Amino acid sequence: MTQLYPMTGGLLLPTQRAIGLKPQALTEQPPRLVFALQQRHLRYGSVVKLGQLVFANQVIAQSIGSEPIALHTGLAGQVTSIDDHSIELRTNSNMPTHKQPIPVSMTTLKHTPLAKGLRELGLLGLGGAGFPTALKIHRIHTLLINGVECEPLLVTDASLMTYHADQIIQGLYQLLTHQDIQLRRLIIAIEADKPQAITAMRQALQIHTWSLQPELIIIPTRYPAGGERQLYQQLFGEKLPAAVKMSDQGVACLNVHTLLAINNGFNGQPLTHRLVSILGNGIAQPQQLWLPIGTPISWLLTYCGALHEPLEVRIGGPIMGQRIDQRNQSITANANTLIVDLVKPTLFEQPCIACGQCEPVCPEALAPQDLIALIQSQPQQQDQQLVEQNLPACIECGVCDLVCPSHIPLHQYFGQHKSRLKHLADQQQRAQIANATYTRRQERLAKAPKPNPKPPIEASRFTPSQPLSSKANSTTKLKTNLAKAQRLYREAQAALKQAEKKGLEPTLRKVYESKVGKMHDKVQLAQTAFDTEKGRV
Amino acid sequence: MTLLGLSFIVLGLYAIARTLMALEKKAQALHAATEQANSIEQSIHQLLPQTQCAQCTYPGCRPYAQAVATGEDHNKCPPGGDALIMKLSELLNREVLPLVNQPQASDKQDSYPLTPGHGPTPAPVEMIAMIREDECIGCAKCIPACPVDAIVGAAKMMHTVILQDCTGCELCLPPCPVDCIDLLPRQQFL
Repeated sequence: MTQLYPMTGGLLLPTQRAIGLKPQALTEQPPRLVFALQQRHLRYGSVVKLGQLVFANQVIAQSIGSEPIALHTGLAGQVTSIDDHSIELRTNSNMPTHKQPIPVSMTTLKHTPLAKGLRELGLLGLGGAGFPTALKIHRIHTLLINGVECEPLLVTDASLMTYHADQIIQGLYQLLTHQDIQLRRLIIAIEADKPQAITAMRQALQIHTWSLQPELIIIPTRYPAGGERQLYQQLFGEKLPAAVKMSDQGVACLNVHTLLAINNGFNGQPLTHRLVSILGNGIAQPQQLWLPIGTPISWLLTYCGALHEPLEVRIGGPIMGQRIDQRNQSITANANTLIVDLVKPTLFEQPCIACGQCEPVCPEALAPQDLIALIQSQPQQQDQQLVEQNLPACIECGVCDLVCPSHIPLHQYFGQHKSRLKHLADQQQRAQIANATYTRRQERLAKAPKPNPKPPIEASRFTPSQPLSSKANSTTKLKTNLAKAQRLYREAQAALKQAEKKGLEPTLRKVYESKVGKMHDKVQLAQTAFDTEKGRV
Repeated sequence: MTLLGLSFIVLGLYAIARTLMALEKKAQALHAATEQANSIEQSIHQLLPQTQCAQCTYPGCRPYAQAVATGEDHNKCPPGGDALIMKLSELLNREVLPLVNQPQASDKQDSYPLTPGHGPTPAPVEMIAMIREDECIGCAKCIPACPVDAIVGAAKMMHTVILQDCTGCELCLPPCPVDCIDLLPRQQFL
């Protein structure tokens, strides 16, 4: 049995999971799909045109950057609008699926570089952060499968593991056989309060014979035990510093849903659908649906029979989830859960009483009450001190909000200031680069020779520096010169005659005559040169 | 005889050592003075936005930092805006002055007028230059104008801006004969 290390902070929360919710397909197609182009980690640019007919599984957008990640549509249809933020499709069920070769098929994903294949399949982390999978699996020695869905109410991963364990494990098995993956350790972490999922995964693991035995580890129920950094601490016994990513340590953390999508990828199916739980007291009954990415939330609410009352819709869990404006948003790859609740009375924020309850629960060992005091006080030296207090390490899990007796939305403040600090740091880094290039340029310009005026014409250019190879050679040259001059003279004369025939204005006539005169002079010069040379010979 | 010689040698050595020490002290004092000047200049330089736009009438941020350290007004940097003026005033213990060189009204939708008595106005939106590549004729005139080498291209070839390196200084706009360079908010490009 692998040793588990204790996690810093955290809370034991009543989870209230609706276990036993079965994944179901939609019984009707959404009439339109809206693809959000600006996501947390990616910005997509459209590759389709307005009015274009697209097949299911076709690439409709690619992320901006040197290594683009594709975005596929799950349903066929016609593009009805494109702007900076979204692509909209009117779906059409009569159109066939994509006929052209799907970018990566089972055989090719096996033999193409894994990262490239994953980018072409458009794989993103489906656990909730939506981080591109291709960027995670670079040079790893440990693979960590995350089935620790620690926020209360969430059941998406649990039911996936219960009902689709074989596909998840199949995906894992295929991934291990890929040439780009060489592992030393393979860990599957599942939270203790999902017994059915654990049994299903255990059974599925026994189907295959493994070259590297996967370790199935049961993580005690505690929020936020399923965060990447928290899992790392529990499994390896040390905390990751704020600036260090898990992949820097050679560990990749993949959600179980991502593994299922990888399995689909090995079968040639890009990422187009995901499982979404729709929960809350604002809908008739909780459901779990396979939804095409881009399904509009307004349509989904009608489909699920949402109540006709003011509703509060959240994407993600009840704590970390984002409240959204339901009218114009749609399902994205990271939307694991939709919580539809009747609007609750908001609790008003009271001043901090410095009770210190938030400190022991913080999983990153920060001091939320000091941070909030800093944020609410002097704006001048705030930034420096916030960095010193390690604000960038905050994972925005929101446990501090839960225990705060003054109902301060602490993690919202922290999130805002985290992104502000990040923006400032970026700006500073850019300034440094600009300064460096500027200095380099100045040095280069100082070194570069100044453009000189044209060098004076040397006399030697006109006198042959070497004696002519033979006299005969020079006479032939002079002869050709003479012939050429004579020809030009004749041509000039002919031109003058022809012009006279047509009738000439006096000014033009002068031009022609002067030309003839010049040519005559040249012929004479060439003649004398030739004669003297001949005479010398 | 030997004793006398030895004492002479010792005295000589002592004198040499004294002069050396005095010289070193002098050098140290000089070094400290320049260091202090340098450190002020350095900390001013670190606060400047490094746009290298020359709107302060100095050819870059480093020369302006030098000038401010030796007494030039600290309110001549439009990209830094009022926030920079506040920071510099604090650093140099000088009075807060209103910004002198207002941003040129080229095509900035978001130029903020100074509102006296309402605290610092928000920092101007970060802009970057973007070449409309269809219209570029490849004249290569914008390339030497760029202070941070952020434009790539060659004669009669299309040019483009390296977005990460562009500081939005606008120095490439005047040389362009076909006006194919736009200034766009950086946010649009991540």
